[in-house]
Amino acid sequence: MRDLERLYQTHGAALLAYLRRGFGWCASPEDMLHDTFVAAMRRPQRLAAAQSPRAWLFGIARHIGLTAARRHRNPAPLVEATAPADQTDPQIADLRELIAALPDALRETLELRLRERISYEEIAQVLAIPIGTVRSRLHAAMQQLREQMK
Amino acid sequence: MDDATLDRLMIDDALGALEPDVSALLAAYTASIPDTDQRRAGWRDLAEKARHAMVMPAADALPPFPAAQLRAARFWHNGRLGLAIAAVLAVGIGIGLWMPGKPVAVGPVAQVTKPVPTSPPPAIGVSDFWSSRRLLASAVEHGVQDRPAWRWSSPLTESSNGDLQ
Repeated sequence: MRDLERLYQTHGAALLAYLRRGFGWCASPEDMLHDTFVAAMRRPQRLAAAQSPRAWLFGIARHIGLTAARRHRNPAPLVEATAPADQTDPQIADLRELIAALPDALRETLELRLRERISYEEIAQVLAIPIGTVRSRLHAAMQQLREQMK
Repeated sequence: MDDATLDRLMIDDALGALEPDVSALLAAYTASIPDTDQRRAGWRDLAEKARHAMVMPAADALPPFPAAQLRAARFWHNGRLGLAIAAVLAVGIGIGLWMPGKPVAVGPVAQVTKPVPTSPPPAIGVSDFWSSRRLLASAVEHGVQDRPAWRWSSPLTESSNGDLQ
């Protein structure tokens, strides 16, 4: 329980922000965070064996968020219902829209890298995909953004 | 290095996925090629802007660790596991008690006659198996008459026309 509490203190805020941004439209982020740690508590062996507990927790949180989104009747909003960080720079605002318009797989991978600052290996663990796929998704996302920004 | 490979490396560099020494090597390489350094700077600029576009206002404070709720959840999880095992056992025992016991039909069993092994010769007090004392003792015990009687007739005592003399 102490290990879990330590993980909560270390990664709880990032997980909560991730759940709020990604799945806050369909369920309470606090509830999903709670469910994440309940699920982690039920699998102590897997937690102990995880190469990156952070990536493992993000993987659980993502799974719980996707389950909540599937239960929700309304589709996900195209642009996240959160206040933009910088409304003064029109280029940033354009980029935000372009990122929101990226295919889901590319956008999610790019967000995990840039926003959550998760390494390629950890993204592969969170999304349960090979690391080569992570790399190719990131390259594709960046190239699409560059082409559309021209 | 072809442009596509270089672009991939520059994107990894812009996303901060390269080791510092690899990034320095790449910077040195791109500095030596005209226009490539600007491309690298362009990728870095795009990544920085994308990161800036994604940064959101500070989220709400993290709620306190729900230790009591997690303990309760663990208790119920373990309790449910125990209940499940108990239920399975109860169902198994109930089915066992409920089902009438049927005698097992046994068919005729063919009797196999086995040759009765002969009892080993009694110990004679001789430890060496092949010793002359043991062979002698065995011969005395079983008697000379038990031996098959071999009879040998010499061809020298027979007549040439085959009549016995």
